[in-house]
This record gives sequence, structure tokens and C-alpha cells, in this order.
Amino acid sequence: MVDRVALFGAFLNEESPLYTEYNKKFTDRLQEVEREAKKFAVVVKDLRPSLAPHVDINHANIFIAVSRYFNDAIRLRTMHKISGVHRTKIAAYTAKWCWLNPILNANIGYDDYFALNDSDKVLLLNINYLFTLDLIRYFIPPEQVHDVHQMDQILSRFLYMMKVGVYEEHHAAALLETIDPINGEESV
Amino acid sequence: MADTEKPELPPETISKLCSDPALKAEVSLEIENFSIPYVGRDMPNEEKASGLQRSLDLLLG
Repeated sequence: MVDRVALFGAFLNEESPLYTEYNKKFTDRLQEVEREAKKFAVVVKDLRPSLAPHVDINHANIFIAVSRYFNDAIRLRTMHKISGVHRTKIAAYTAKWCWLNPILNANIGYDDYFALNDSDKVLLLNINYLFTLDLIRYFIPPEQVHDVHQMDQILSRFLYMMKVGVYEEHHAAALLETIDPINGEESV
Repeated sequence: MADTEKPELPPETISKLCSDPALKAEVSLEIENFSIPYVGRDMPNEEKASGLQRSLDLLLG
């Protein structure tokens, strides 16, 4: 279905060179994020069975988030002549759009919410922030970074920034670069 | 210096930067690898669960 839809603002039409060049990468990334979201939802449901009926995946937002990420990547590539995108930028920019377009949603009524224990309430309220951190760990495996405790500190800062609405992708990428050695795993 | 004026790097500095082997290696690595598609890794559910627990610890302080 994806190849019949013009990507979000990045492509003028299906015959355009940009569409042809990036459509496969776009589709692959879309499937990647969707797969990780499903796995994350399963993990949450295993950890807290009481939340199982209340965790939903918003597939439309996955499409919007990945499309907006590709807008950024293609802008960097074509307008700023940047030839490679390091995985810290992939993580930071993808996290931004997944934060702004929540992938994991809480689907719960008033009474059911207040019947949950405090720990479950916290998890449910912050579920998309937690998924965003999971996505960063997916793109930058913790076992590959210089210092996993430093990574935790950075992720903790991202959590705070997302909660207060000031997460910013350039700043995030710069912070992640301090812990991630260049290893050549790059693309858009 | 007026706002519109831009400081210029002396030519020898630019030349030195361009000939720095470490910098060249890094730049060519980026260009060389751009065409390699990012292959999503297999992130096991156990790793996801442990990451979620760490994130919850960060969240709850």
C-alpha cells in the first residue's frame, strides 16, 4: 500500500526521482519502526498484564513520523549536501517525530484508569516516551557505546526534555555522538 | 567586525584540514557507506524488557 501513497511532503509524485530513490528505504524503515512498536507493546503487556487491553499502536502516526523523518533526511541530503547520516542522527531525528506523533497510545476510560495501581498509571502515561527511548536503544545498541551509564544519563535527560516539551533533535544527536563510536552503519 | 563579514580561514589551515588523514578517512567512510542500506538489527524481547526496566528506573528516579 505504501508505494501507492506519495510520501509526506518529500515527494511530488510517484514518478519523481526522489520518490524512486527513497521509496524502498522509506518502506523498510516504516516496517522497522512498526515491528519494534509491536515488540515493545508485547513486552509491556508481558511485564504488566493489567495494561494489556489499554495499549494501542497508532499505525497512522508511524507513517507520519517516518515520513517526517525522511523529510529531514532528504533535506539534509539535497539542500545541505550532506552525504552520510550517522546512526546517532537517525536515532535523534526518528525519536523527535515519534515523540511528536505518538506511536504507542493509552486507550483507557476514566474509571479503569483510576482502578490501576500507581506504577501502572506511570507506565501508561509515559508509554510513548518509553517507546521513544526503546527506539534510540534499537538504533544505538547499548553494548556498543563507550559508557552505558552515560547513555542512561543522556536518555534520562531526553525523558525530561520530552516531558517538558523541549526535546530538540540537533542537541540530542550531539549528546548521542559523545557516547557512540563511528562504526560505518549509516544510511538515511 | 561587522555582522556581515565572515572570518576566513587562512589557506594553509584549509589545506592542513583537507590533508588530515584521520579526517579524510572519516569523510570517505561516510560517503562510501551512504549507499549501504541501514539493516535493522534483531533486538530480542529480553533486551527490550531490560531496556524498558532501565527506562522505568530513570522515569521513577
